[in-house]
Amino acid sequence: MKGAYIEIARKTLLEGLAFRVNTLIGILDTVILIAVNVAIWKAVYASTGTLQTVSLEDTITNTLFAIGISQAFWMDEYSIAHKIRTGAITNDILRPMHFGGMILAADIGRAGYRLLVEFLPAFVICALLFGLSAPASALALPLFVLSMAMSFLVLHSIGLIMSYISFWYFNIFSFVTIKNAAVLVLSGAYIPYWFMPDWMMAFVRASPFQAIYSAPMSIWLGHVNGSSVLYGLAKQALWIVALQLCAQALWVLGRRKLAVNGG
Amino acid sequence: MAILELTEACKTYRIVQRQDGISGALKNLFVPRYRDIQAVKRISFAIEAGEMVGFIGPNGAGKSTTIKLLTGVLVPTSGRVQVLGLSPFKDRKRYVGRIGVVFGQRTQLWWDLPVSDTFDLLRKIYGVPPQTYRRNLELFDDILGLADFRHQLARQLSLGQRMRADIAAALLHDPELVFLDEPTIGLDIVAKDKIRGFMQHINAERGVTMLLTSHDMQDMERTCQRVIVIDKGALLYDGSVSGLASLSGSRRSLIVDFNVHTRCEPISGTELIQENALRARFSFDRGSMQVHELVSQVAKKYDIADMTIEEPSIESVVKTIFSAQQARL
Ligand SMILES: Nc1ncnc2c1ncn2[C@@H]1O[C@H](COP(=O)(O)OP(=O)(O)OP(=O)(O)O)[C@@H](O)[C@H]1O
Ligand SMILES: [Mg+2]
Repeated sequence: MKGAYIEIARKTLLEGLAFRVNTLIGILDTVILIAVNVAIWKAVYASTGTLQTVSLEDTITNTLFAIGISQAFWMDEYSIAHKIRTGAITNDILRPMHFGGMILAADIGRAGYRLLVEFLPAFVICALLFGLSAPASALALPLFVLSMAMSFLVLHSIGLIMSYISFWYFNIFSFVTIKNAAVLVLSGAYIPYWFMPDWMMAFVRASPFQAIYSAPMSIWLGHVNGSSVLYGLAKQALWIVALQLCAQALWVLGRRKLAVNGG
Repeated sequence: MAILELTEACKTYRIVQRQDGISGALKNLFVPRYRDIQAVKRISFAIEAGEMVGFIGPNGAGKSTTIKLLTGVLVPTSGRVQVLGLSPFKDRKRYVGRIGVVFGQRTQLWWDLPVSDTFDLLRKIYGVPPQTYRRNLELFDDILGLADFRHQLARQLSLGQRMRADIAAALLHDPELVFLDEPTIGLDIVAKDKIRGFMQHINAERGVTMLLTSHDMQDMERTCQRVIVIDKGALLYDGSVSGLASLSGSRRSLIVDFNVHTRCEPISGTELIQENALRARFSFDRGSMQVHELVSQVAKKYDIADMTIEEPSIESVVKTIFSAQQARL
């Protein structure tokens, strides 16, 4: 049984590898996106100079990691919505598996492929071009990886909730668009949290968005230390649990609705 | 002992009644009007372990809905569904591991994967032991001829190949009970025969219980001992296939196509129900008239291009049963 989830992840990963042209485009896409953002930050720093509390190098590091990885952590809400709309979800219901677990496995496979094949080359190219701050300490590196994995789980859980909305609304396009915009602006990828105004930070701290890229980045850059690292990780974990509970509730209600109204 | 029990099961679909025009659309938004469709009305039946049961009825009779109730995709609006001692909807994960399901209209194969990869994935999902898996694959290759296309992508298969692969996929994990909703839909005679043979084999050799729907009476006659007939959501008949055949009457039609323009003379024991220059249709009673006699009589008299015997369609069978019941009331 456990093998089945691993197999789904593996299959999704291999499926990605089958399209070589997409891979090249994906690398190029990420490099360009990072380059443009780095250029913007360079311009900002050139005009404001020493007023900034965080160095240009740290800001570039944030851009390299957060924007690069956000390209890889892209959830596929529409294909689940499509399954629900067309009734193809019947096939999944008839498998002796946990539906959310199947989606998680597929999301992991896809993210794994994109990290390995698209992000990694793009990251190396950009690091050579633009430079990079070293992790704050030896311990910061593994904690960063752990925290980034939890960022993935937060995004996965939000995506799951979005997909399940289609049990009630056929067209989830507007929901997903709003969500994507919110992640873009609030997760700390395009606007590092040290550039956010206080009122915005207050909101972000109370939302799951802070548990996305701000959390791992502040560990890498050493903006948090000691117990506040643990506090940040615990907060991420809590958000994952809360969002998963929410998703599970929507799944139970949604499947009930499907079963009552007609599959 | 019954392994499947449906007791007074009802299923009512509720759909939003669309209203036309802009004002209608607005009304829809704020005060949607609903319409109830009673797809299944108080149906009860039980199936014993090892049975092979046909489930027929005209389009929209409620067959697929019943199968969805039995597989736990849907919950009954009222009544009870109990299969393998479980409640299919509530005990989903435990239940679906023990059954196999084929919806002929929809494939369960992973569209972008070779069939063999789908099988491999299913093997892991159901935890099929290696020797069972190998034995089953061999059997499927033998009877269903899967070896020819096992390495093709699912989306590159013909309908008949896809159906065979789908049926194999549903049986890979040795389910105790298999539901097949129109497993022969759209297939030619050869493919149908293959699938019928396979279902019979699985039922006879392994004692797998089967419930299958079809629009082809021949599927029923060739494979099932028992048939259940429903129409408009209600149970019409539950009994042996031969009983159904006697109920549905023994009248058949012989359709004759001629090579040249022909005027037919009446043949005793038959009724000429349709005639034009190149085709004639005789109606006869299978009880009092031997088919081969009739055929040889016709063949001797005329220059014939082709002949077909027409079996009664499910629709006409249902009509006969229905009017017979009405008459009894
Ligand atoms: N999801 C649904 N929502 C609303 N009504 C439905 C739904 N599915 C089926 N129905 C209705 O329920 C009735 C029974 O449909 P069902 O699909 O069970 O028939 P069937 O016997 O399988 O027919 P067929 O031979 O055409 O496959 C039909 O009147 C159909 O319109
Ligand atoms: Mg049907």
